[in-house]
Amino acid sequence: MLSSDASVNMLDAIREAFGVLTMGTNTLRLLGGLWVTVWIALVSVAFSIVLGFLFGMLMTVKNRVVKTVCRIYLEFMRIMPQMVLLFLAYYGLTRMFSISLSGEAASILVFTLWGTAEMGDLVRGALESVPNHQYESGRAIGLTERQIFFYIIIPQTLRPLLPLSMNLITRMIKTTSLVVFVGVIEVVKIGQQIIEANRLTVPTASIAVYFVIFMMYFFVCWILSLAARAVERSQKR
Amino acid sequence: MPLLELKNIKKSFDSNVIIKDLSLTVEKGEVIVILGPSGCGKSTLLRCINGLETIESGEIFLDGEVISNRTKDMHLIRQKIGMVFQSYDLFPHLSVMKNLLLGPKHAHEMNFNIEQVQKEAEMWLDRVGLADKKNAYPRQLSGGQKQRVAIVRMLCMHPEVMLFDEVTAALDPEMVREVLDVMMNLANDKKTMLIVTHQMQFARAVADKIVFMDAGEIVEISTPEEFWTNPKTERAKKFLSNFEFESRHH
Amino acid sequence: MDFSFIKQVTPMYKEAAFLTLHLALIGILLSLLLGLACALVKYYRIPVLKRIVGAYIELSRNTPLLIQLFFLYFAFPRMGIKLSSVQCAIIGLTFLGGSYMEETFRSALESVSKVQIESAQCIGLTPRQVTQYVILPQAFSVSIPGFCANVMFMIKETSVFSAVALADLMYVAKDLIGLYYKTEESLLLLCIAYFILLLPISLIAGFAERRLRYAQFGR
Repeated sequence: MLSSDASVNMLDAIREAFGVLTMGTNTLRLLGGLWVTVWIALVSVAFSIVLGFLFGMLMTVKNRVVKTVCRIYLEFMRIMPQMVLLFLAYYGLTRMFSISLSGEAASILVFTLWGTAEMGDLVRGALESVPNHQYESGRAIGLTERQIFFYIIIPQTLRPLLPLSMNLITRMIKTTSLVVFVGVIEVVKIGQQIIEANRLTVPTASIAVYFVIFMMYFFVCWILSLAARAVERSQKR
Repeated sequence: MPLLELKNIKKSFDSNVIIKDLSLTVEKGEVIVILGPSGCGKSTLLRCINGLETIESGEIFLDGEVISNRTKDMHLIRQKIGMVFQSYDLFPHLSVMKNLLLGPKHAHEMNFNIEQVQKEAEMWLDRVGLADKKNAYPRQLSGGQKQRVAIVRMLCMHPEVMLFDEVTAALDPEMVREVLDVMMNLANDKKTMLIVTHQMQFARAVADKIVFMDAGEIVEISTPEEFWTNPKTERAKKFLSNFEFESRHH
Repeated sequence: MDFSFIKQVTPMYKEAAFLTLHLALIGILLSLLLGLACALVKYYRIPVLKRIVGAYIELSRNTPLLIQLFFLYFAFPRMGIKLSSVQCAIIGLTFLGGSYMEETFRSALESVSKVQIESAQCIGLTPRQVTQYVILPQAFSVSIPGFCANVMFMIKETSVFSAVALADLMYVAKDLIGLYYKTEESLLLLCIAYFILLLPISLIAGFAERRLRYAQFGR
């Protein structure tokens, strides 16, 4: 696996590789690719929050049929790997229903459906965790059910949802790395283009390129998770 | 020589001084009840005695041996000083009998004969009225029952000194009496006990000595009779007046 | 729906599923050990090691498995370390899974309340005995639902293994769609395969969680 005079070669290889990043607009293109991923994630999250809230409220409805259908949807979205869902949207919809979606569109569709399910479950959990006597106190001071819901219940559910949603955003950004498989030109694809273009001049380019991509994802997600933790901490006070 | 001796104990948490310069002696077979307003340091005092808290200065002696701020082998000291908490934490994953035997089984230094301990444990369970619960799990017991088991668990280690930290504070009123009865029994058996409680009538009946604490120091030590009929200090009088009400009806 | 096609290709799916399961199990086992070791380091606040573990967890949790695999498979060879597809898959999965297991085990350890630990100390048990007879048994049952969730998560994550040229379920499905255009059948079998892999674990996890709640609260 590792050759004996590897250490010297390794350092050389690494030094050579990082040269690629300074060439032309390579780094800029990589950042552009990252933006594609982040953009897909943000759009999906925006849709998921709105739809998820509605879905969550739907899940607390007393009708058993509605509840079961919601449950099935939730479990399906949870059990199926996101890759499979992407395939279903990208290849399945095209061949089975002649709906041809671009890679981006398929990704946003899939992540929105997934995000709505997850968000909905979080909202349902938050709604159900509001203790009963909150409703009773509202009634005791003479509010209508609708007033109780909007002025007492909803504000209380929003507090824990903020850090949980940020956690969902982080997970979504990590999962958008998969969109390379449905033909979206994002950071990995661009990275591969750079490596291929410099195959003869800088054969070790893959070291730097993949390292940079690794670090890009790391920083984006890490900052988000730090922010989520800060929000959680400020709520505890 | 007193069984337990505290000399000039000082304890703070961060910048708050909880116990300032406290000294106390406890003779063998004595039952001492510690009274005082909330936050005066009573629980902290008990926790310092069995090493759950370290002290900043001063020393604690058990049978003449220094036991304060030990870094090694504190478990040997805790085999001799038992403690029962307000939250009666029984081990939920073990049955009642296993809870009782866990300490003796692993205290190799004390050379317990397990069969003997088991017989003793069953005798104690019978005495506290829980003979039929020996294979039950803590989740199946009421608060009062769990507290009685917690006391028996401590007894199985044959401690020389017993510490009780507001053990009835978390119980429903109907269950308080059954636990206090057990403690009264132990007092009659001439065990050495330090009790922190708010149960005034019980304190008056069970104590050999009342130690009244306020703001981290001992304000007054007297017999129960003296303390209630003729308290010596102003602070003691003020504390006792908290428990008396003038009737609306004349 | 071409049923004869389905019958023809089912063995391919079966083989791919076994491969997925095989690699997932190795990954799960290794990440369990890694996670447990890291959790103990963080719980007992062992100096120096706890910083290293902390850095590992941040790196592992904030990067997608796909990127980790690409780095292992395409970048490492250029540095002189050549790894096979299987090795990349297992290393990547263990690296990722270890931090999830650490989180599960550490929060399970921390769920044992301070009073429980003090009660154990008060009947004269040594620190090691307290850990062995009081902390670990309780932490174990608390960790089961989280552990099952991690298992499910890791099996789902194996769907990216086709990126490192492993003939797993996604690879088979994509191949069949490309070659025979039998999209519906291929996708249906794909969904069924993952259902068979994951549904049992989801049910076990739910069952375990209810048993745990009963054991703790008697309800």
